[in-house]
Amino acid sequence: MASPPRIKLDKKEAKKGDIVEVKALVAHVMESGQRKNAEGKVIPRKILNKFTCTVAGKEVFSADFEPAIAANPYIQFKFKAQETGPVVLTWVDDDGSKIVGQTEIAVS
Amino acid sequence: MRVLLNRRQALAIGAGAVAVLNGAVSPAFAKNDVDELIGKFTGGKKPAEGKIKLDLPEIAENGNTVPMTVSVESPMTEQSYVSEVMVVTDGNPRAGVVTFHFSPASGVAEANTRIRLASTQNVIAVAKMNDGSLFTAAKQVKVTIGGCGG
Repeated sequence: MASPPRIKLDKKEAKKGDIVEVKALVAHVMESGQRKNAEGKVIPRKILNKFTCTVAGKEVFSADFEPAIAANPYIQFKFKAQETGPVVLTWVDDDGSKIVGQTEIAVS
Repeated sequence: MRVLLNRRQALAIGAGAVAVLNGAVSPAFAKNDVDELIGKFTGGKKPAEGKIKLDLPEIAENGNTVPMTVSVESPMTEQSYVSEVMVVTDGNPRAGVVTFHFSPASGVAEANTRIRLASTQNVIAVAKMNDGSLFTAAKQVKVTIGGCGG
């Protein structure tokens, strides 16, 4: 991928039990498999079909994407701060490749 | 075999389609695999109305990217939480949009993403709780420019 995913947390430090909001944007064509090119041939589907977020190794949120997700998918969700650790966001492409983004959360 | 419709028949079919939107589901008029997907998700049970807030614009000028927020009322504790929320549409070539998976670690059952809508249509969310109960909500979005290319 040309550019790494952009990830933003609404707070870098949280108290245990606080709700933290995550916003993430990743560059991807999300080709739906419905469009045709100039020769009238269907452009094959190529989307990110799975998104997962883990915090300190534990999965907090995931989503299954279909072709009806807009290009350069944006995702926003929340999690409950439990412990300090890496926030890892993973997108899985139809071709099996992965886009991984990471940030940190400090929990006191 | 090609079926030709005169104006009166075409209007009758149009009226039928409106009846479908009003909840009287008739498979003959189902445009895509929306009923099938919902059936698979719910296991044939009928979801109750409510608990879900589906936030979408009334009118989307560009169907290529329509912001959508889904939130479900729930304490999100080990005893009671939302496990999955499926979002489908009845007017895209394929009904599936996204399925969100939540857990008590999510804290709040809320997610936002941007979706594609091919035309004016209904967006339907179905939520599954950890105890198996089901809730649904729907919202119509008017689309000025369709979002599936081609």
